[in-house]
Amino acid sequence: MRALASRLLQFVLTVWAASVAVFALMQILPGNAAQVAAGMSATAEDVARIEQEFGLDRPLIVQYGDWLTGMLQGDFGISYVTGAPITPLVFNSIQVTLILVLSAMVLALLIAVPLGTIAALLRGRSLGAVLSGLSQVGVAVPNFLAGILLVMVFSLGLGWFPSSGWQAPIFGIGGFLSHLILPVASLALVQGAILTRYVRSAVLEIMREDYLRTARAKGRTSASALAVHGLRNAAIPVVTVAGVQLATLLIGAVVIEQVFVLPGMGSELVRAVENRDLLTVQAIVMVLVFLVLALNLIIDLLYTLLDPRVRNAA
Amino acid sequence: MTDPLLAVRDLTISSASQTLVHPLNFAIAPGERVGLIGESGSGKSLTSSAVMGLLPSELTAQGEVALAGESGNLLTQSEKSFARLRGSRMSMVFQEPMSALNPLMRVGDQVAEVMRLHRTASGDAASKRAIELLDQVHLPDPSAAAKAYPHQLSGGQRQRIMLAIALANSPDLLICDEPTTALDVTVQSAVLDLIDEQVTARGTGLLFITHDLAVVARVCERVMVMNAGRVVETGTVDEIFTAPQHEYTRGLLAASDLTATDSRGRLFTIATADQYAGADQQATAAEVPVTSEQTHESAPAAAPEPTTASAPEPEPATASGAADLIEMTGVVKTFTRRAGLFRSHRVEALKGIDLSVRAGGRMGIVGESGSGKSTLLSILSGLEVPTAGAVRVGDVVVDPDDQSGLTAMRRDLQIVFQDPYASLDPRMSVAEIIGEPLRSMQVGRDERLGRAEEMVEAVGLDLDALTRFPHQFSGGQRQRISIARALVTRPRILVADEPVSALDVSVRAQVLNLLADLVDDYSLTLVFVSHDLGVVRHLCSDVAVMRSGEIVEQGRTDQVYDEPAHAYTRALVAASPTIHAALSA
Repeated sequence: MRALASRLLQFVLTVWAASVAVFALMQILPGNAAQVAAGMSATAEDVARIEQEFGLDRPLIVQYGDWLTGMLQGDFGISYVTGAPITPLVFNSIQVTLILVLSAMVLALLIAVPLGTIAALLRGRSLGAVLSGLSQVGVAVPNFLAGILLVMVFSLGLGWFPSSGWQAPIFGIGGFLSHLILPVASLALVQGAILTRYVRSAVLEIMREDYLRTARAKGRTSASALAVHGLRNAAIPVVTVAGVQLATLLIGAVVIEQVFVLPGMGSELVRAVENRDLLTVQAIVMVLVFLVLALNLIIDLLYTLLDPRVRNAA
Repeated sequence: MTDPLLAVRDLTISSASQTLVHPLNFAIAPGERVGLIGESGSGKSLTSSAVMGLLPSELTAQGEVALAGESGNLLTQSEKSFARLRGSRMSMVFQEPMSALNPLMRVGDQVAEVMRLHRTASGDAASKRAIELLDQVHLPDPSAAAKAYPHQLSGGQRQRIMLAIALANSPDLLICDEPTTALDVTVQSAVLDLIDEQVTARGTGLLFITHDLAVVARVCERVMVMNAGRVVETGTVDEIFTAPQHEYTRGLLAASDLTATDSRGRLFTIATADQYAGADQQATAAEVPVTSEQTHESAPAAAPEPTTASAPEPEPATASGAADLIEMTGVVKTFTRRAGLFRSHRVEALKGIDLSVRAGGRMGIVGESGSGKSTLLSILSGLEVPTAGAVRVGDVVVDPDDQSGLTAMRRDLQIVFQDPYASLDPRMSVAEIIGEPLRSMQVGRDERLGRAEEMVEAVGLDLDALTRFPHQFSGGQRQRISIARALVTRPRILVADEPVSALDVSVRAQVLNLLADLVDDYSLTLVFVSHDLGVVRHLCSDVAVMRSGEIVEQGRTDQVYDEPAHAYTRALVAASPTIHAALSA
């Protein structure tokens, strides 16, 4: 319990430090937000008026405090460029990105766990070598290329799925899924290939462990020893890697959202950068950082559930 | 033997490229206790794995293994029907207690599992029975122990759990593969007693595999001696230990006997075993302290004076005042371990050590794991900073911040480490390894090579060893290389940290003899750390017994061993298995 509290405190402190870093970075960037908002032809008075309107003339510490307390209440402020509130935009796009990333990770694990286990069991046989080879190829293919190839085959070629766009689930599950499947697949295939290699080596490692021999000495066959005693042990290194890969996946999603024209955080981020909408960029970056840290926290907690040694050491 | 419990006929074990175990025949009667002894690579563990059907998949076993009450040859059975016998009719306890249990499962569940698997108990009954079994293997507070995870238990406790698992279904045959090799002597003794007690209570047949002859003599009735994949000799414990027929058995026996020495005061090796009189004859000779023969300078067996543990009084060999080459005074080492963000706890590794070694002395330091031996050595060699206290080596006061002092000290004091496999850089040639300590002393390349050549010959290796790499050598040869590296700077002090504990018995004798020769030839002062009391008794003139960061007793070796003043020393001496003790019991 104490360990949990200490881990949560650590999380809160890290998020706070990240918010300071993100805010500071945006201030260091060249260009004045008010200048941008006022437009190219604005006079110095226009700029000063806008600065006052948005409170940009106040000390930085006050501006930061404002931004932070706003965020704590779920309010990211109003864009200087569009004049629209940022919160709904962030809230809508975060859903798209989270659905994309989490389904991709689940699918990747559904691919990697059985394939990696089979590849480990068949080590030294031809099918095992084929599986290892395939995962090798998968690792080498970038996300966006996988996306384009999938579009060419399943969308342009076979016409099974739409090549781009997004449909929210409330407008029909069928449409939602058919829009989702290609972007998720292009992230998951590559991720699955990477994880397959980790699962394979984790299972190989476990198969050499003394306690699997003990399990067989108790009267289990090799297969049942692996299933009962091996897989949960093998899950520990795989969870570690999957946690690190989630961050990679989030970055991959930014690209894939562009390829498939999805209204996710990646697309919004690119648009905000193009519009020099600094406050929106700041909000999206902060949310992305928060997501990565939160996912790490979840992985850590999962770890303590899986491994009693971590539970006691912490 | 009319109706053997286990009959092994023409068992051959081979890998793709070679035969590892040559046709092997033996039988074990119901309730009989058979020891299988041999050195590493002799095939003893493979034999037991084959009987259990646990051979690694890259090895194949041929021949016949028959278990009373089961029809047919076990080796030709399907994996499933073989698995049905494991854990129910025959069980196994392995060497490594640290890794043999599933780290993610409570130990009580791991004991209950073997009963649920064979349907001898189910559900809550199995859990209850598991707690009873933990009680039978004498774990304190068995119901709390059942809820523990393996990492919360010590090595000895885990080995008790393994034994509870193995005995849960009252098997007819128990196979123990080096079950106590990884344990401290006092723990080993308790676990051996437990195996003895449980096997007797259940009338279980026992196949006990070990490299340690004293352990076999204590536990078994009959012994098979294995060498290079063949059983070279079989007989009762008395026959094997008192009248060994085969040359290899004689060699093994002679090399294991740390109380028997040849005319030069050296241990017997397989090569010189023909001069060895045998364990029973030697048993009387052993009562004359052999160590005093080698320590030429030591006074004729000084009348043993009673020592008190609390205040180690000055001993003749250590208290020559000014002549002390090493002096540690009031050395304290406290480790602070962080636990979580705000908590930390302190571990007192050393609680005020006073130790001095005179020039030319041979100081043995014995103690079990966790006693602080290694920390003491780290501080002595300047690798760790003591929390309090001072260390003087020669004229140098050891201070890790004083680089020039350390360099001077290291020229004088060199270390040989325990693990001959991990302590040599695999990418350096032997010449580079041996010459390396000279590099930091700015010795030129030609002289380094010259001195490396000299040392290689001194430790009994061929000159062509210089251009080879560590993986091309056996464990004993690697330890010779480590010794050569340590002596190349011509130090006055040699510190050896368990230098023979990873070696086979026959190699151990050779390396110990080499150390004794070199200590004589180079007039070295020796600090020798070991968990093995026999080795220290043979090699050292003085001994310090450590427990929980304290020296509980120190003095002349024969005196401490023959009349231990401290209760812990007495327990340690009593627990150390010796062939003589086992045979006379």
